[in-house]
Amino acid sequence: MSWYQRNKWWMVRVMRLPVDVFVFATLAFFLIRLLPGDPVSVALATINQPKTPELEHNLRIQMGLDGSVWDQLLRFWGNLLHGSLGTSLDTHLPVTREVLDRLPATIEIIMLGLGGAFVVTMVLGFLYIRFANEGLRRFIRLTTGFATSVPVFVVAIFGILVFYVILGWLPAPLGRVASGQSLPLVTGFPLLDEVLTGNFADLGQTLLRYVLPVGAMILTYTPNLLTQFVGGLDRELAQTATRFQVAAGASRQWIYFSVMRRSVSSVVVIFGLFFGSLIGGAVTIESLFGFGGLGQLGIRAVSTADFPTLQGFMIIIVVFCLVMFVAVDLVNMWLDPRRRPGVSSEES
Amino acid sequence: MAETHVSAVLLPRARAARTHFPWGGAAAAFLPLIVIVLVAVLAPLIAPHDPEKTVADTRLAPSGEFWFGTDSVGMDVFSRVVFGARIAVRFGITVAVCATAIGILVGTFIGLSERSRGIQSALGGALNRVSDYIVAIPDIILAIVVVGIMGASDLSLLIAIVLTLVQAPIKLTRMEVLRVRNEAYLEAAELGGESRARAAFVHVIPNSIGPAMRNMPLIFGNCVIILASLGFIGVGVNAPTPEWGYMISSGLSDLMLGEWWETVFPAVFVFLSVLGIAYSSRAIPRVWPRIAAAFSTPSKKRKNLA
Repeated sequence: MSWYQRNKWWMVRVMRLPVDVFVFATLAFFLIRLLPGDPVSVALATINQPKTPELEHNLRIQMGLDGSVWDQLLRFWGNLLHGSLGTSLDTHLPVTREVLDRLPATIEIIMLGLGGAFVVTMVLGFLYIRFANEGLRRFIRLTTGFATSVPVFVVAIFGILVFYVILGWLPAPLGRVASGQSLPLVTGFPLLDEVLTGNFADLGQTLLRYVLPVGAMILTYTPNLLTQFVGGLDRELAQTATRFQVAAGASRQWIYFSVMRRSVSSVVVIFGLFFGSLIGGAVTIESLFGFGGLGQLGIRAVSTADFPTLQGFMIIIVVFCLVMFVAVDLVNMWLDPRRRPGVSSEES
Repeated sequence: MAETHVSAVLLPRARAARTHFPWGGAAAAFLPLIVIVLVAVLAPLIAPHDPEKTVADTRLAPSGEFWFGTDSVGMDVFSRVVFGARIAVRFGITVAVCATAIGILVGTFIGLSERSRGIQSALGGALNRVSDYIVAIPDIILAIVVVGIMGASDLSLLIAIVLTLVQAPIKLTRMEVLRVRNEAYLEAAELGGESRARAAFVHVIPNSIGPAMRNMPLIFGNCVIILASLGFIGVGVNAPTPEWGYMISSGLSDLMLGEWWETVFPAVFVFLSVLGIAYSSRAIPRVWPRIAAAFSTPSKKRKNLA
């Protein structure tokens, strides 16, 4: 097999990404313009100035809503090719910068919460196949029964009530560091920046302040991942491949590894499906713990009726989601070659 | 439903046993939904005070008169929480009905147009792709953008939530239609000279709405979650409205000072209602075949007699 044939599966998937981004941005363009209601009049209602036709006209131009839809689309595509999504009406900064400045901090929270949930899922899953203890298994099955989507901020509020208000073990949920201090800014990922600038006192503070939000995310998302994982484990344990390994005298470690590797891909699929609700959850968590970030930007854009920011905000977040979907697909295809396009197996 | 017919035909002796309506199972499955809806409907009777008026001093602790205390402007938290159920249920039912109805229509159109040619096929394919892309937008983010562009109102909230939740019934109905459209009765209808639109409404839709209908409690639950999340970050709901998410966020600063009742009671209600609806939405599909069997067998008998 040539190099191209061996690596075609991921190259094709990665190459589809720019097309997806372009199609999605165009779709978002139309979706936003098809909504009933006029953003210009909504914005006018928030401005404390006499409403003159000139003001309205200027606003329309600033929003990029002047001319016919096709003019707007051509301008939108032209800007998109240059990587520009317009300028915020509120701060007069490029929208891409506004969003990309805040994205890393949000990604950090999501990755910690999701990564934590993944680790807990793996550990519980391993315990589930390692020990045939009925009590333990019942406990793990009971946990999966909570696989619903209780909003993560509700879980976090119970956490705040117990660990801050009643017990006083954790600091107040008011930002990443004590008030009055500011975070160093290098990459935009707060923890990484604190390590890079050697601010280990701040790092400790931030870690302590991350306990509740990350803990709430782990508590909320673990049951959902675990449902998939335990289901996969039950299925894979009964498969002939597993029995063959046992019969062939493979070591226990190898059998555990093999069963877990085959079951984990359904967890990874759920990762992809969940990603949207994770970003939504992260927005509420940021708002609850005073972390600023993407949610704050969205809320500010809503309250000032900042049309270019709203449009760019949505497009950039979805592009990020699309990138994550590609990553999920690639990890899945890497874990389970049967999922690669053009590969046939006895099951498909 | 098609399965139950088949099994009833294949197992004529089992039919008598099936006709019993599964009272216990159905009651247990529907109970959480019924309780929530009852609280919402009877809110004016349950709530002792006006939910949007100052009725006492601010920040009173829970007591005999004010069961859940009062909030930072002196409104009764218990009344507000009960009326909050009303808002959640009103939105939940409206969204579930709208999303399911639109989803069934669009899903049927997409499913049927996949076999046809020309402009309808292109339109159906395009709609299917659009739906795929909209699924990729995080629900809260889409709602923030829709509310931001349309301004905060009930209508914009409704459109925002329906837009995110309509995708599941579209996909479910499409899958069902793809299965149903190969059935012989459709071919018979076509040969009998029925128009395609009539065939779609008379034959395809009634036989493919099952999954979308059973998905309704799930939409209801998701709607409650999205509404509470939006209210919590302060998007879409205006000030005195007793909406759970908004109540939670407006009581936060008092929670930090130890006055927990303003925040914790609405949070408990969100928690319980979401868990309850989730339980219902898993239990209803499980008892549904038995309920359908109990209903469909007598009606079949009646048809046979006629």
